[in-house]
Amino acid sequence: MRKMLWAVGAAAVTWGFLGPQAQAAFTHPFRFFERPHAEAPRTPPSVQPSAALGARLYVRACESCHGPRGNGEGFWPLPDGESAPALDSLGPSSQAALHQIIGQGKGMMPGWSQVMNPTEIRSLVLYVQSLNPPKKG
Amino acid sequence: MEGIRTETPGACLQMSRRELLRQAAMASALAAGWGMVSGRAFAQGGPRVRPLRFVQLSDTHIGYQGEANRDIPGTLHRALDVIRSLDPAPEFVVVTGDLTQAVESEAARLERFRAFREQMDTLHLPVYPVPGEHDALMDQGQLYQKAVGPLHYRFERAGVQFFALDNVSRGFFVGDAQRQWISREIARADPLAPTVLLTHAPLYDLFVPWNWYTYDAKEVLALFSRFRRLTVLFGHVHQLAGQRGPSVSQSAGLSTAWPLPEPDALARLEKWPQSASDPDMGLGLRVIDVASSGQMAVSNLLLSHEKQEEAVL
Repeated sequence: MRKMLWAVGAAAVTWGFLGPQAQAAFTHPFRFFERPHAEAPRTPPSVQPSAALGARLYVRACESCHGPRGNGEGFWPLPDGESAPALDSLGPSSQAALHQIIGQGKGMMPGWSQVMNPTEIRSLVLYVQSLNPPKKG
Repeated sequence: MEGIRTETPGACLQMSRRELLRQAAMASALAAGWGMVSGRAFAQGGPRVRPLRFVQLSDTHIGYQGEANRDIPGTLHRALDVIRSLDPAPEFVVVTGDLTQAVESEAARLERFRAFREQMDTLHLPVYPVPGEHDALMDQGQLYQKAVGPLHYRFERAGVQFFALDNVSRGFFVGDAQRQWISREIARADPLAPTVLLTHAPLYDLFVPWNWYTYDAKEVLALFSRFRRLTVLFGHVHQLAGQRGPSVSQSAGLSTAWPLPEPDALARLEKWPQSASDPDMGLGLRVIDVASSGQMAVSNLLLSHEKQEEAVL
């Protein structure tokens, strides 16, 4: 009888030390095996950067502010009431700074490197560059 | 033949009737004890929840001047009067972003945060805000942190866990750094307890062209995949909207500033001029009652006709 009481006491103390996560594993064993599945990177590293991938990302990340044609006529007004810059008439220096601005942000422009990998950032750069074809003559 | 035991197989398991009865009684007592303990601790799937009432305010846009609402402070004042008249009284207020209207000048923004705080102080209730893009996008939340407080944090009330998240200050995403913070906090949280995520933008694609989404919402919700009862309360969309999934329920609160149109065609998001005959049309707040079972009942209180729409999350 005394042994049983000791066993129950030890089990109670152990239960207390387990903490909520481990307790949940015992009380809901099948939920325990549902591992939190981290989302796979949207673009595998093996994929090469491309303007086509950039175009797809642009629709989700950029179109609301910069507009479907990249001319700054977006669907969502910025908090200060201004329009986002047009991306279809960038000068050479702005094009050179694209990678930095898209990745790290500037002003109200988000720094997309927090949620995009280098392949995706590079693809967005290629797509925005494709909106600015070299002028003939 | 002395060395040969003549007991029948299984004889060692034989016991007297008294011993059998004693052991049966012991087993019954243990089973009943476990039933009581587990019934108390796990009947509601987690730790004990005390009945709780709180209010969700959203998108107060203090400092806005224009045709969408010609008396922003007055509307908020009426909403606070409604909160004061609630019976039973709420224990605290959450504010799901856009406390203030964005403006270029830092001094003006500080003044707007001060005006918001001054109005909220009249409630004499704890206030738990999250930033909206008007509060935090212009400087990645630096002034907000000085004037209001941290961009993300966690608190607990009456057995309900709250995660106040920032999905606007650097763009419409939560981002790597905050997701790592969430992972660390989740390790110390109880996946069986009712859990509420407070955000400004929805954690699903409500309407991407108007930035009514969070870019990395799936990654954020995946972190909470072991949580049994997860509710997301958001603002940003200035209307009643939501999504109910198998493990997470998301729901938008009403604004006290102006209503916005339902997402539809690919058109630029525009505000309506405030109605002269019904200036409070589409404005309001919501009261959330958490039962001891952990179930959340929502009452959306519209300021215009004191009309009440109810739902269960």
